[in-house]
Amino acid sequence: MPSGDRRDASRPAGRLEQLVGAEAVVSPASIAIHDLRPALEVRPADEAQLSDVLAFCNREGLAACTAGGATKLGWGGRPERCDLLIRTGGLSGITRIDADDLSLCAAAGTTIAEARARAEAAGRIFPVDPRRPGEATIGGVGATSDQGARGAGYGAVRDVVLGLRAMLPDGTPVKFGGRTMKNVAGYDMTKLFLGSFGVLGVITEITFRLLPRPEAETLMIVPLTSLAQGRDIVAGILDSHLQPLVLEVASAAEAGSVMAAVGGDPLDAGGLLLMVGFSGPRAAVRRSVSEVDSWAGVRRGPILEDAAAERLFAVLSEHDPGGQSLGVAVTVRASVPVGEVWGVAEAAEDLARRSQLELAYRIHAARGVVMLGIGPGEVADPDRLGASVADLRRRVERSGGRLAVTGGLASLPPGFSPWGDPRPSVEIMRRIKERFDPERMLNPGRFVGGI
Amino acid sequence: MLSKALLTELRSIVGRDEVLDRPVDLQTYEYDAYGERSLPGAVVFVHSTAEVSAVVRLLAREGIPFVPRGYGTNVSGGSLALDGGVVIEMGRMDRVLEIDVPNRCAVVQPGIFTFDISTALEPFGYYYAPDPASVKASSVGGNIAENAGGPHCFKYGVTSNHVMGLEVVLPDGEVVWFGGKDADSSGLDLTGVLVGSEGTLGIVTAAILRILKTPETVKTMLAIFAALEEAGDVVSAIVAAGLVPATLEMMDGLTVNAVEDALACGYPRDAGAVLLIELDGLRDGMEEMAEQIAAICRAHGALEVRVAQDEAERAALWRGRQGTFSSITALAPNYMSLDGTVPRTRLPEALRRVSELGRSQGLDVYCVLHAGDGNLHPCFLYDEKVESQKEKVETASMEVLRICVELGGTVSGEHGIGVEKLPAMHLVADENDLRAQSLVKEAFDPRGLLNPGKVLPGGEAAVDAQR
Repeated sequence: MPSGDRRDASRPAGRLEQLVGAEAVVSPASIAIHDLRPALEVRPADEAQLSDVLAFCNREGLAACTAGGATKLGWGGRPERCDLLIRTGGLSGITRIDADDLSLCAAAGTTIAEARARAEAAGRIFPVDPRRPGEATIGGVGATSDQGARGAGYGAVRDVVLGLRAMLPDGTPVKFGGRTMKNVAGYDMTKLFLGSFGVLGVITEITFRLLPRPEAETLMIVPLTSLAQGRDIVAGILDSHLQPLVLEVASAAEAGSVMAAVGGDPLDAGGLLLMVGFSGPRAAVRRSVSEVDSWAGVRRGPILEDAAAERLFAVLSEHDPGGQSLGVAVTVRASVPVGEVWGVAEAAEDLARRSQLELAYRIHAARGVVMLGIGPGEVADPDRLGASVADLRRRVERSGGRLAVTGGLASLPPGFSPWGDPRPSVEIMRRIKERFDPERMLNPGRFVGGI
Repeated sequence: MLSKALLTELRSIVGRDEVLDRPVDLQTYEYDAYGERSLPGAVVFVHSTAEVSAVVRLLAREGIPFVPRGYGTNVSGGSLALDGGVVIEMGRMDRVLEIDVPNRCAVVQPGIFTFDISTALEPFGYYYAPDPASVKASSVGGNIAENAGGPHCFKYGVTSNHVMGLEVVLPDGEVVWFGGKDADSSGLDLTGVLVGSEGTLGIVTAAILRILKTPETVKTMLAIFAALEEAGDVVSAIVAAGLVPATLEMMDGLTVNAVEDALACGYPRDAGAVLLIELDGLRDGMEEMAEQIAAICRAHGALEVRVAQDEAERAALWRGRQGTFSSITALAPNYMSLDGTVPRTRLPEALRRVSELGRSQGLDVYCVLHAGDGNLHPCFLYDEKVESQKEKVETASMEVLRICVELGGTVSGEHGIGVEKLPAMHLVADENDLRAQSLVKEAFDPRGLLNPGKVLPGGEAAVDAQR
């Protein structure tokens, strides 16, 4: 162990420069995690350098946090400590694409946009639709399992990943899963690492399954008169034989930017919108659209085909709810049983009215996720805002779900838990963390229960 | 042998008649669908989560190993109790606890036959998608432990993609829920880790399963080929064309004849291979997709493409597929069924090399494949009483797995490692990979009491001692 304050990272800087080159060490870090700006930022160029950096940190007792495109650093807790930030952007590139076998393998620092473009060039779909795909990376999406609107059809991130490579906190390289659809050779470590917020290791490469490009893609925009009407139409779709690609509700505050994006009639932009997307054989898509269209009470809005639908998806993924329409202080994600999303949205609207808060939200209605932006942006009273978010969290937990803060933790009172009280299974999670990272060197305190 | 005092304590938990300890009774539980035998110390029938917890607590106190068991259909020895451990028999926990249509899930106990879940869901217009060939004989708890696959995985994924939450009794007897009805991502995906852990991390006592709407239309086709390689090419071509049938199942000519001998389902005896293709979904566009697939089959030399005209014809085709394993294994005293998986583009090459291997070793290979997933089940028949046959088959089997790994695949697609494939784990995992996996085992089961000697190589000595 080095003498003196272990958190004084000025001396390690020189030795890190020896490992990765002077230009790959920046002081202080270019970005902060919540209000904590690490003294150093290191940008390894490849897996070998990453391994060296992790091993060095482990030996020297330096705590490291990790980031790819830094689009989700507002998710999760404030690091318990962080001597340096490791950026994975140097580990970049599509390692392999096998269009005929429907698989793609990419290094952690590759952007989602690049993976998507490569898949599309090969006539395939990359089935991950996270926020800010131009900056978000493969590794970041793997570590957070972020999935967006088209997740209704694609499934969760865990459903489209075949295998991954990672570095354990001490720099040991490991590989799990593979490139086949089925694989039960050993524990499903791939699932353990996906969504683990980098507390068990650093993902360095992921193999995804690809989907064939559908013949047609159509997105219907249905203006809603109320949440209750949305619930009825969505229940009708889920109970039918139709298989939606997208089933998403935009709150009134969001509807304006949606309609602006599609060049739709601004008169329709006053209330809630339901977006229903279908993809597949042209005949099946046509039948799906006309079936929904024929249901009583379904008002017809714009119907977007192929490229126009793509443009709207791009707008949806560029900002969190409220990001364009109002000043947002806090963003949160509620995950609930699919049938409960409506009650959560209603509760949020009630709360916003009572507490004079601004509110925007989007409901991923097929997946049981509600993303909410809560304002105003200038927080006069953090305690009052904190009480409101805590109120909503209790409502979400009563319906069997969880509420996580995904932005603006610093606007909430000190000590506000980004994840909420952990469920009892956290004990096993702690035991796993203790074995993978006994000295708590990697992303300490970022995850559920302060893991 | 368990002590009288311990047997009495176990009986006080589960009931007097619910603990077996006489050797003659235990023999029923000394094997599963894999060939090896190992006599358990006792068999305990459990009826509730509380009983499982109490039994586990007691065994943990005594330091006696234990293994959960459903109906013993495991083909890799995963349900064997090594070291004279206790079998915890889950079959009596076989109820559907809840069908929750608004939240698109069902809650079931682990001992239910997997087929019965869909039967219970049928009145609601829903079903549970994973359908291993043993769907009528295996329990869903076993399917969860093995991350079972089945023909419909090609479109719908494996068991893991359909399990949302689990109630688990940990190896110290504590009861805990992983996951739930929400698609929660706050926390490690312990549900994902439990599925496929072969009953070595925890005992599942209830499961929340995703349910799907029954498809509007199903279309089942049988394509007949003169040669196995042609059928392999067709599978690659269908996948490459971007078509997603619900199933793409293949069997070779030897298997077709074995099935016809046993079941007479109307498969053509002179075929070199057949492909069983099923489409499902909306009826709109399905006819076109069926024609496209038929055209690909014909372009690759299909002798005939039959379409099942009614439910009876469809059922006959599926009866043949589901009966393949029993039809083949009835032909010889012993069998070795493999479960290698390759990227689908490598399927024709894998088939060619496996056939060559069989020829060069003078072994008959019966080949059944979940071809859409690149999952091969070559089956070698032999008689262990004939000298050197067993070793020959074991050597050839290892070679098949080596071929699969060489082609970018893996050693098990759905059967699991159990005790059978412990040595083969080294083909896909190096020391670092295995060490990382053992950290997970240690976190769940620091004393190594739950189903020891499985999945992770290192405990093989225990099995050898049994032989």
